[in-house]
Amino acid sequence: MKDYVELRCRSAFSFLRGASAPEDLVTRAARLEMDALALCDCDGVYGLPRFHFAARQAGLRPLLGAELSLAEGGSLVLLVRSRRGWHNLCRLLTAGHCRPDVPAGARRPPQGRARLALERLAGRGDGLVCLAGSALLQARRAGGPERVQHLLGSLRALFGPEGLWIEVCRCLDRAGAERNRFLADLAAAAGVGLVASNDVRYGRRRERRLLDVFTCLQRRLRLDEAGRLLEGNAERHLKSPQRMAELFAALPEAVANTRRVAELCEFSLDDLDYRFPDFATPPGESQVGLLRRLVWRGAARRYRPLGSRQRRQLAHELAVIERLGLAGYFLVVWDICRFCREQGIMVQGRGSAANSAVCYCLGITAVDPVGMDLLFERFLSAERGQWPDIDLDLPSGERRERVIQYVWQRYGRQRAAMTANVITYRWRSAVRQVGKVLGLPEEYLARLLQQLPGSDGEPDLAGAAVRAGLDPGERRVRWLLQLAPRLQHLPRHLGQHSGGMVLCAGRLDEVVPIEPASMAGRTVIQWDKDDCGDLGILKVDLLGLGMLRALEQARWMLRQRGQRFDLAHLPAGDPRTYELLRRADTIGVFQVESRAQMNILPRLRPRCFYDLVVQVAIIRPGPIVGRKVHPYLERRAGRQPVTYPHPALEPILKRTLGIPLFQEQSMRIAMTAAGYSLRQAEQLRRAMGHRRSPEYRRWHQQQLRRGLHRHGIRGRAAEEIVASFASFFGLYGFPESHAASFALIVYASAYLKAHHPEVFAAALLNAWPLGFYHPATIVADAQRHGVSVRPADVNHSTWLCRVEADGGLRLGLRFVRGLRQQAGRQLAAERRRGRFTSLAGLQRRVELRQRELVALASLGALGSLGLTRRQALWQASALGQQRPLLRHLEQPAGASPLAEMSALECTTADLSLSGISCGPHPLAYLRRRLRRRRVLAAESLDRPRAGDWVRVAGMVIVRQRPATARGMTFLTLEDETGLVNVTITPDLWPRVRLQVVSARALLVAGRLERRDGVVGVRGQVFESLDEDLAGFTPARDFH
Amino acid sequence: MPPVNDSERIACLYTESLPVAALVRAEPELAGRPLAVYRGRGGQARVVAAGSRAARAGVVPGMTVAQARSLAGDCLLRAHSPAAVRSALAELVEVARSFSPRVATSPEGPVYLGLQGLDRLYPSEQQLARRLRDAAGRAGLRVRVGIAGGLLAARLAACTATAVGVIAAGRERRSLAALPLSLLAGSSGVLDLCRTLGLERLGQLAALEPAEVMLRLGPPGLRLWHQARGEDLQPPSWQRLPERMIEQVDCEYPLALLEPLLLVLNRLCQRLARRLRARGLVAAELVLSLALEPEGRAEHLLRPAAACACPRTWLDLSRALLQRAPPRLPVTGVGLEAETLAQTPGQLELFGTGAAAPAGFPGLVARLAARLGEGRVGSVRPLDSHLPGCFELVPFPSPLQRGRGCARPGGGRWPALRALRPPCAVQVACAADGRPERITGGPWRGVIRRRGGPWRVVERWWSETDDERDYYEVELAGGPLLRLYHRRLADRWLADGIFG
Repeated sequence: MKDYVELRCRSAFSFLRGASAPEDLVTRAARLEMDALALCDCDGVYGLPRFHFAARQAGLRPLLGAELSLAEGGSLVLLVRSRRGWHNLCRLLTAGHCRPDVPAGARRPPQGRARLALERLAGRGDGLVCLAGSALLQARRAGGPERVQHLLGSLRALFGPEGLWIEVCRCLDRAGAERNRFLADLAAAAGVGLVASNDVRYGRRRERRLLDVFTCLQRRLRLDEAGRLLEGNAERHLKSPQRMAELFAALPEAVANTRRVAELCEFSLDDLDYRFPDFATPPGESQVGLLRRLVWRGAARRYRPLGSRQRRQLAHELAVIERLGLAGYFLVVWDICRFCREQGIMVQGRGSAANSAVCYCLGITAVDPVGMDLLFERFLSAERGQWPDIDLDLPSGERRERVIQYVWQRYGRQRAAMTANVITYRWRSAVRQVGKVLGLPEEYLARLLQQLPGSDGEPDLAGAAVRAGLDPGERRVRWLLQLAPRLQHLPRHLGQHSGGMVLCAGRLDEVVPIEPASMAGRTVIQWDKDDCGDLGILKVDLLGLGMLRALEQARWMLRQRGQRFDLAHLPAGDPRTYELLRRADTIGVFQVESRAQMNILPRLRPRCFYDLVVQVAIIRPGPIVGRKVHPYLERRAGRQPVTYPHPALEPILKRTLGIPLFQEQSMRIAMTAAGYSLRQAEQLRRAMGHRRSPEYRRWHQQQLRRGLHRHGIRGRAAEEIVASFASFFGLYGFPESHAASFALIVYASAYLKAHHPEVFAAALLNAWPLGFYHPATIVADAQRHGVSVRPADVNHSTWLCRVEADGGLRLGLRFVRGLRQQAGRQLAAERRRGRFTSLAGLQRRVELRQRELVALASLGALGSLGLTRRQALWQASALGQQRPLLRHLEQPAGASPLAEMSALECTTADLSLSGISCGPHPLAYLRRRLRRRRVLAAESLDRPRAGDWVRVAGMVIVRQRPATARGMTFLTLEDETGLVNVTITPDLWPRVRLQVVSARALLVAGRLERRDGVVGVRGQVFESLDEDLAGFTPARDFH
Repeated sequence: MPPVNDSERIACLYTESLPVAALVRAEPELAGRPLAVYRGRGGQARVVAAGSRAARAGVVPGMTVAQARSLAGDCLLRAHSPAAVRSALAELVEVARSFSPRVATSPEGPVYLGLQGLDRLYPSEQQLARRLRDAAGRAGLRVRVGIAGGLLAARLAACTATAVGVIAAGRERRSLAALPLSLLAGSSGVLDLCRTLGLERLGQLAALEPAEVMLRLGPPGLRLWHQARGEDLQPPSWQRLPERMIEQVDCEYPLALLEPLLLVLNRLCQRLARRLRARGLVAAELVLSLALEPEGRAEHLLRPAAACACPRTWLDLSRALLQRAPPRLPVTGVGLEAETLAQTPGQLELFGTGAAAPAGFPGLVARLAARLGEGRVGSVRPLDSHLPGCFELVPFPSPLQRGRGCARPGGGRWPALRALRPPCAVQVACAADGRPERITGGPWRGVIRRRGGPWRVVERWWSETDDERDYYEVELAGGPLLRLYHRRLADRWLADGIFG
């Protein structure tokens, strides 16, 4: 009875061709008292890591394999016998996905689908067991007995007599009996062993319904239309060995053979043989030696003087790194940073890597962890049992891509690839897809989806259906309510991680199959970052950051002016910078430009770098929902005494005035107050993450509570600590090191704005899109800081914005809507050969299309040719229509019969064609009328007293309704003198929502609020000014 | 294309916010209320037309329904009814036809009529325009009438007039000069370029030299220039009236009861009769079509005993039909299409039987269906299913389709199985493993000598006909070869076929 081992199972990682998670298959197999189970997903090993670990935990022997689709039709089930077999399987799957017959840029086959010609299997049969069944049947259909014999001969040659088996399955379908008879006769005639399987596609019988839903999704059909594409019955579930023995009572040897095959398969993912690439060292020097040399050299540069505390920390870290054999990893990351520095690409480590003094000395991070007393063990420790994860911030866009391509160039395409990102079904997608398949009308689904919350969390689906006017008892709705929750967390498709790269000492495609990514020039492995982490595969995250791109632009512009700007050498404690931050003059400043941050800045009043670290960390969902913000500000202002939940916690919380704000603090609290080891504290941190199940979290909370009680912390103090864990890790709080890394960029960007506002604005405009604000707001802010902003002009502008010799900011041609980048760059290059003196000359020298010329003329970019906008338009519109034959002829420039543009028309043209106007703000045109209505300008709001009824008006530049603000809505209005903050209470919101959401400009009346220097208006009455400003560009949307 | 210089006097009947006007025509009680019409569903629904009162409250085409509701709380928002618009336009064409045989229109556009020769019937064009407006008003449509030399000039005159606008012959260009360029139908690119150049009025564009316009705006710009001068690009194409007369309306909400449906139908019959009488026609046959929710249509043929234009008769026929075969789904739209005949004054025979109703096949099928029930009359079509012998009934193919012949699926040998309908219940004794061993009750009895199966079929789990069956083919000792199935949920055995 126990002979039977299921050798052919598909999980949901077969992407719409299997319906159970790998863990569920394992659970089911364990319940059926199986001792081994094989997982063979279609054309991939996507689910094998999860299957491997789940099987290990359940005491099952995992057999690994995949079902490989053949170009000739049908498929082969390949099970891995040995490490050599794993290498071969990975290479076969890689070859199947990277199909040479699909030209670059052509539409790729659906995800998870490979196709490999039989001839390409040559030489890759070692270490594999092949179960042939479907391929033989396909050969019979396509070419009759001759082709079957030919295929059988080829397979026998490939896999050897011990590696080839013919598979029969009995799923109680009528045609199956005849197929089995054919396969059994064939096996007997050819002397090939017969194995039984159930071709499992789901763990339990009831999951057949999910598979039917997936089949319909795959074929884009409704259930009613799918007919025989669906399974005829629900027999492809995992059956007990007894049941399989009954079904194959006539072929007992087929059941017994499954055990023989299982015993052949000895490979496990523990034998993956992954090694991080060795770093090429100079002759005679080991990796550890080189790392030590680089670190001490860096230390001498970073620490002046290098004290004993720093020496001790570095020695400790180096010892840990050496013990864990990670010297090569650090050297590889150092090498990437070195490349960036050589190429002038800004790079900075973020995340927990900033806890490491070694990273600081290698130039990977820019924050001194010794000086800031950061916890190295949050990053790396022998006890922690986790591989380190170094994230590098790079300028977004083409510069980051250059670094990624460098890694490929340095280590080779076969040794490096991006990690995958498994996209799973969420509530909304599950409801939408299942509803469609069941044939529910779109309108009903839209109503139901409106009732579901947008974010994560388990909604009351039945309640939502009732609220949407659906009858939960109706047949289709009933099925929707049953099936949609079961789709949760099943894989939907595979994406690409934003920047995670894995590297390998040998061929990466022998460790894990590699697929081409949808983005040209990129390849992606079949496992996601968690799988890689669990299997000990190291990765480096190369992430894009818009602000680094802006800072890089600024550095280049300052260098042109002979000034130096370097993140590592900024003067510390610059008073102008802190003054700017204290008055919340932070439009464009990294991380602290949001409305919430700007409200906190005047209250927190940062004076030193650590204040910035706190500022960055405090406006996060964790501290906000955990209600840490207000107590911290009150304590900082001296209005509340500094207390600690327990005296033992004072050293940990002293710097944050008794309020836990960082992840490291919470971990230290667990270690100090609950007696956790570092490893346990790390486990606790991971357990409280939002992806874990509530039961798992509750169990850990209970453990923490017990630990606190053992150490004498009970009652309210204990509950406060437990709650802070939940809010920090469950809702996201920053590690201190990460906040410190970001604070450095905050300081750098604020410093730049304080000292070089024109460079700062130009850099932001060149790096846009980034941050919260539209270019028009950035320009208006620069103008308020005294920067002379000049319009784009063909004789002065380059493609990007630039700062002119006298300090004026010249807008770049990139803001001329409709002008191609190639044309803009050609124009700037051509001008170096001489100024443009006439429109015809410009047209002769640069190939511009008519609409490009018209756009330039409308914006006044041809002003330096001595033409008004309409004169230029009159000529430009004629030039663009010329036939190529006549293009060389100088056209007589007739006088324009058109009326000149008024100032209002100029502003309208600027805003509609570039989004930016260097002229008056749109509100300036309304000011006289607004003044008559007693509307105050933003700069005048310091005069009224708190509680006074005031009226303000402006373009709506930000609308926010954050989930953490308990229904409050925040608006920022901009007029020609500055910004006004407006708040809307939840009770008022339903009445004014439509107007507030749709209006581009608003007049708001309400009570003035003033607290700690922060001024705002609590809006009561709202009036749209859109009609008065007809023609101006729309405002931004919600954040 | 060169402009048309033949400046025939043309009248244009222009209905502002036609979707709203069509709705008011269909439901006269809506007149005077703030009304707007939207198109689309859910959050995507947008206003496409607004009546004058709704427009005064700030409702304009393009805004979302939610925006319109927020601006004008008392505004009545109704879904766009293309059927009502078609009917309204059709009646407007008939009104125009009652003045002149030369009528032209487009699916959404105004109605034009050529005025050649009408100067002898009406003392002035102003008076003619007023008569046209009054005639349209009697049909339930408020129109503006424009008269000018050319289609475009007439349309612009109508669009910009308060009630009637007449442009004297030869004064078209001057009269139109002050109008905004946006009234013209040009390509958006050219109109945008004109706006960029500061050309906002027809006169500004018309004042430019054509060569300059051609150089800058190309052929589309030149066409626009001609239009700005009030010149037509194409001559009017006068149309014939269709032989069939259709009156349609979309319901505000799905109708599930007969009485409200008959109310809607009554109005429809009244309007259709009015149109028929206006043209001296009668309906020989009518097709009643019902649009159903969520999808599908139902069509019924109404055949009065004699051709007539009597709304009461049609309504009685409809009532009888709907009571006999009510729609199975809520009704979202109703249409009545009349096959028209010229009204022939005559007298019915005192002792004659009258004209026999055509005993057509569709009528027979309809009556049978009415008696036997929906879906019980038709042609057999095999279903795409794992269940053996599964089929559905579909309507008989039309005579046009019948000529094509019917191919056998697979085209090969058919199994010699005689299906038993309905299946016969049998009693079966089973072995320990659940396999049938002996038939102990029913039309057949005996020991099962050989068997094939089970073949399990569990189909349509999402439907109410969910069933789990294990099929067997069994040979009784000395008896027939049967196909049996076991309904697992009900634990019943049935024989549904005999081989041989």
